[in-house]
Amino acid sequence: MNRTILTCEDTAEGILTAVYQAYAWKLQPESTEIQAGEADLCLFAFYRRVETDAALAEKVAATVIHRFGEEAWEDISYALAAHDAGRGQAVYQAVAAGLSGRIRGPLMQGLTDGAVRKVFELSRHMHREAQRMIQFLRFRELEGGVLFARIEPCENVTALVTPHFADRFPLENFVIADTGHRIAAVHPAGKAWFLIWPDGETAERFERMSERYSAAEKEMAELFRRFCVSTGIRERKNRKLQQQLLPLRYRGTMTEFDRQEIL
Amino acid sequence: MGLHIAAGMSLMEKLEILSDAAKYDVACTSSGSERRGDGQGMGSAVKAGICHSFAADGRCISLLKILFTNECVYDCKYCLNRRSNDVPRASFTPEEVCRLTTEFYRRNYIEGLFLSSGVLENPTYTMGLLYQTVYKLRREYRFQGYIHMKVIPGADPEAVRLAGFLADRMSVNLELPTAEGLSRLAPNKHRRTILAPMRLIQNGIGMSRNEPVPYRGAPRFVPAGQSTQMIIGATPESDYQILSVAESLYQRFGLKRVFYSAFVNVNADRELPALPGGPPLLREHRLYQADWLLRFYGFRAEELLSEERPDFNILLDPKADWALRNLTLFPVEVNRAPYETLLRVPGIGVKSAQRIVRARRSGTLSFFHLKKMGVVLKRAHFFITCGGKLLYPSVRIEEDFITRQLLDCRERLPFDADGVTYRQLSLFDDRNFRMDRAGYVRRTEAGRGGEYE
Ligand code: SF4
Repeated sequence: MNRTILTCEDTAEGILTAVYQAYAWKLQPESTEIQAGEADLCLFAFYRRVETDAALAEKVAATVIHRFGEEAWEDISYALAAHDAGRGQAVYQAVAAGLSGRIRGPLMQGLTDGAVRKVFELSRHMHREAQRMIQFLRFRELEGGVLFARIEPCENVTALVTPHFADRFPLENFVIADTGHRIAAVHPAGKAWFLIWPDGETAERFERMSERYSAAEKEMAELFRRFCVSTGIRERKNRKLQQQLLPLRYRGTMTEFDRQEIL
Repeated sequence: MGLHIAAGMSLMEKLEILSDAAKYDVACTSSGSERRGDGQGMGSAVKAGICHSFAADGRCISLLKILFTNECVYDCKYCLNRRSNDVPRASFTPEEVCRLTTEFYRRNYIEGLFLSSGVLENPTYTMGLLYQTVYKLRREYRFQGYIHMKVIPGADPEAVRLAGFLADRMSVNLELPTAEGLSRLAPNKHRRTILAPMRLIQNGIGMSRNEPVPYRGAPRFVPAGQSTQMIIGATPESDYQILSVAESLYQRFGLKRVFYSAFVNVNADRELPALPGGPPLLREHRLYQADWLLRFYGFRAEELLSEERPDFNILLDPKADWALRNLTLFPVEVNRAPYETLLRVPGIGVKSAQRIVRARRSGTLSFFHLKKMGVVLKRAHFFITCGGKLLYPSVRIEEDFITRQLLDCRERLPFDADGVTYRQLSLFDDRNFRMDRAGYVRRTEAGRGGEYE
């Protein structure tokens, strides 16, 4: 039997629209595949292009929440944010497995199903990276009191971590800028936060923010660096354990590992 | 008589002295409270706690851990700040503590404040200072992050009670596992003045749980529960004694956590062991593992140790050690065994046991599935079957054989490089699997947190 391959935009909305169309067009999940972005051309497949439609994507999200609950939706939306070519197909097949009634109990606990397992693993991977940003992100105070954090996560997690900081610092003006993925979250004090996709010039300014650190910033940074040293116990020194828990790749943006601006 | 603040000392110098003096308190967690921001101030709390950095000793930095002052009228033999030591002294002002906490917090360096203190004047006066500081932080600075407050033993109960409505967690340190040890090494402290505030906090927590909340956001009493700490290796108690004390603290005082602190000999006092090999870190590590087994795995202290076997095996973790002594209970069938039984399998942690129980409702589990769920098969496979079959059907379920295999698949101890390596420890394994106190080679690191399999 020929396979049908639905190609769609490489975004969460694109993938969810494709899931919608797969059902609207009454395709069989066993012989249908969703490929986000550039399709792998295959001779024995029938291709159909899906145009992204936010309203249809919304409907799929609503169905998932209604049928499988908020928690399953969280896992699926985290999986959709991952940088993984197979995520579209995994989400589609996991939803199909759920709708078929094959999974007893909550959808995301049906780990004997390959697609559910894949979504679960992607979600776990994204949660882990988001968690690490929540731990290791560092704000720097700029002149004027704005807090600025540059981050370099391996996944695009800015939108996933900003709610945590917005809840924690409602009265602060802050910016979280992921220079690698060229995305930033802006939180004006007392208002709702939003995302921006900085152009080249803005991105460059983000790289040079250290020129605008406030005087208090330098004092606090130095106080924290000294604290990190004096709170360690010399008799228990264990750099290897430190590195295992705080991998080097996160340290580039962390205040306590800055060596450039010692007073 | 006011605070003995050395004139002209900078905030930097104070922070160095007072964080250095606080570092031997090992309770670093910011867990146990869940609180969203109220939109009016600064801060929230996350149930599992958050580690923001790690010090060079690999310990988590979660809270600004400081003493209010390192002045002290007491003379505990194990403590650097004791009255008889000639060390630089410093004291913060409440204002300074508030500024450091909030400025560190808004930069995402920390989850909150851990505030302890030496005894200035007397316990009640000191507790009052801590209370004032935290009051200012909560009310004037509108700080809603995590606060861990130390109780000064002997302080007026009312001061402790008031503080309990501002703190997330409180702790009174037991210091030493037995009353004899305490009176020998901390002559100014008494079991009674330690246990009384513990009981007070326990009762306060119980009452606050049962009372209806008067209004939304009303302060709750010590919502993250109380903890304590014992120093390990300064006095001659066995692991069994220590673990039994911990068990009764959990059962009778409703403690949330008991922390173990490998003794570091900072004073070279004649009353204290010299510990040429450094702090007893492997012993501390085994105690944390066993503590985990008590709290989450349904083990009792007397299943793990006894009068006849009073100390942990240095080569095997307590769970593997227990399983090897109870081989007749294994192997268990993963597709049928109750949750409690799965928890007792070496290589299966709480999370993977939960995943197994849920996933097997929708299908039969294979070893492949188990691996995907996070089961450490190279440890677990001796103790389980899937669909009635062992992973390697030719494996002998026999103590010496499995012990050897488990020792071969090297336990991931959180030490190496800077500490003793596994190689050095395993020199002993040909001669004797069950080294105990006689082979007092206990040095490794304690890696708490994370799941224990
Ligand atoms: S009471 Fe004892 S342990 Fe606490 S600071 Fe004073 S001397 Fe040290």
